[in-house]
Amino acid sequence: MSLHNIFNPNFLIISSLLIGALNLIIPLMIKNKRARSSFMILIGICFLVNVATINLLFLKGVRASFNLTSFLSHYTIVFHLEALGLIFVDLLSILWIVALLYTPSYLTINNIGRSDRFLFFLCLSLLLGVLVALSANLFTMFVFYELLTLSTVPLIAHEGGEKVSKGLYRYLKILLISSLTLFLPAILVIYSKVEHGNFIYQGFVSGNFTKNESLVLLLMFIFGISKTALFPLHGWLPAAMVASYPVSALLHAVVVVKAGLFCIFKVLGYVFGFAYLELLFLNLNWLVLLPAITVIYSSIKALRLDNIKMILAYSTINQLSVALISAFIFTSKAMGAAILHMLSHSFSKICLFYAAGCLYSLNKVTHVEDLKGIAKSMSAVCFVFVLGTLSLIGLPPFGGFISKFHIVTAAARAENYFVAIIVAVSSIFSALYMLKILLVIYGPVDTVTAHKSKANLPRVMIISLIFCGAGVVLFFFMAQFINCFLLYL
Amino acid sequence: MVACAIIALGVKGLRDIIVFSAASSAGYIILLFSRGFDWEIILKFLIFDGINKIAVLLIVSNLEEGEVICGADDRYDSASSMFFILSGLNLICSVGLPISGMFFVKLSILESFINIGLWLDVVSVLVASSVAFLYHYKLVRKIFFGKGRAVSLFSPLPLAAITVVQLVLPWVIL
Repeated sequence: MSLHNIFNPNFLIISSLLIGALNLIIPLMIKNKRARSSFMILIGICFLVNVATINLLFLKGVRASFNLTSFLSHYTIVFHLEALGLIFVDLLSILWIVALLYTPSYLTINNIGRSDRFLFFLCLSLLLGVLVALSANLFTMFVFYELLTLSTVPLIAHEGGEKVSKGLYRYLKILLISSLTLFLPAILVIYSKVEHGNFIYQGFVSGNFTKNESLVLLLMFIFGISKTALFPLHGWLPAAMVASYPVSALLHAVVVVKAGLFCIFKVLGYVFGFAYLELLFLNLNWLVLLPAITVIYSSIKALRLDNIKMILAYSTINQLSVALISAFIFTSKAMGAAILHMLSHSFSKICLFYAAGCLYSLNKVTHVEDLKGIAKSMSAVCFVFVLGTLSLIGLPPFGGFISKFHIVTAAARAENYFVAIIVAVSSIFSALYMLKILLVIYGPVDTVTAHKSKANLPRVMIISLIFCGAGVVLFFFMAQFINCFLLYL
Repeated sequence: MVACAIIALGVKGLRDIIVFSAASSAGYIILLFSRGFDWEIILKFLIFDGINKIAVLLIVSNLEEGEVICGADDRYDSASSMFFILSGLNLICSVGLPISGMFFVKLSILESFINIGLWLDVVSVLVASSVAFLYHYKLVRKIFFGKGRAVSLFSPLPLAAITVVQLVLPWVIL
């Protein structure tokens, strides 16, 4: 075999998928928990190295496309390397390792059984996220988007019970029905008229559909891809809070909501194209009202809640809409800012969920009032929670500030001051409901409920928290790297 | 098609759900006939729907033998584990979610309706498919959230065979 064959660009895609797939086999094959965790982390690192190599080759001009199969003549399953997809794969590859450090220990200290099955579906969800990221057409994206939803079901249902069943029903009802009745028909309409759904730079809708048809299609995509939790299709996100903390982190920070945002970004950029969208909303960009309403609604809702997980859930809905409102400005700079916000929110939210998961593991705290003075006994964990909070609010020098600064700059450049105001309102509300938690954490100690110390936490959980905290603090450097890819959008 | 799917949502017995689900499928066939679809699509629909119905009947018959143990319960055994996996895969196929055979058959039906411009038929199929998911969740509830003893009498072979057919057939005939 010649050197050229070994470095066939298509091999880059296949190698990533094969390395990721190894992590599906390990949980089922190795029963020793310590050995299993070590192997899985090792494979996670290999995956990260492989993705880093792909990044470097992509920046040097290497492009790849891999055709898996086709159905009914023109519905093809194709993967390709492009800038937006690679950014999402980068995020997944980093957070995959963090999740593998945290999750096995969380399951052990909370006495959650069947960890093999749990880890299998955790890795399957992440791998399907990678496949969504690499999808080269609408059909491929839809198939893996749906499979991603289904792969999270065993994770949410893992602990069983009536409450979980009801939450899972709401989760599936909204996600599946919206995608089957809006997302899929939109794809079918495009395929039947254009005969393909391939992602093309600057899109292909222009010229094939009238203005009104394009608007209807756009709305079908925006509401059909309900993983973005846009009001009124946001209910699945709080409903999924019946799951354990690692699952919540996976849903909110790592793969599920981010897959939703990613799909919307890809549809806007590669199906409609910014130039055409700008033309569609030339007189009045009323589309920004949709995320704006969601920001206000979720902020008010979060302010009125006392359950820690529910506050974080509504905060996620809030932040997703901030990313969406930026994307709806329809300029490449605003899209870049939206992508940065998607990434910074991932690190902020994983800090918050993993820190809250640590607090829950040792003290079984579920409500804000249970956290009274907990910082005295678990100062390191609470410090990570503070980092996540400050980033979520958008204070410098953390990740949230950098992405929100880019959004406001892009909005100002496009003279869309409404977006800048909504971002500011979102930050003020975020500060109000998150500081409510911080004040209790750093408040006087509750003498009735004594909190356990951090010494009881496994070392790997602490390490994963350090990684998450570092992601928030060092986001500036990450943004510099991401900017190299944003040039290709 | 739509009416029977909605009735299936309202009934309580698992066997009744299958009966109305079958009636809903009959509605599909009548619709396809009345719109002049060729035999190929109708035959594919009949094949995949038939396999789905056999699979769901097998699941229900096993459930009637004894309820399965849920999730992380200590009493969870390998029989339950196998039953969970096979039932889960067959229910995904029965609802018509990707990448089952029924998904592709419905895809070709919907695309044909869109090409002809039969938008009311498109809406009917989408509504019936959505309601199908809702009544299938009753089975999900019974299988995955039931409380009781493990399915000791569960024989995985018939359900496993049907699952293999469900997963392989779309790649062969589509």
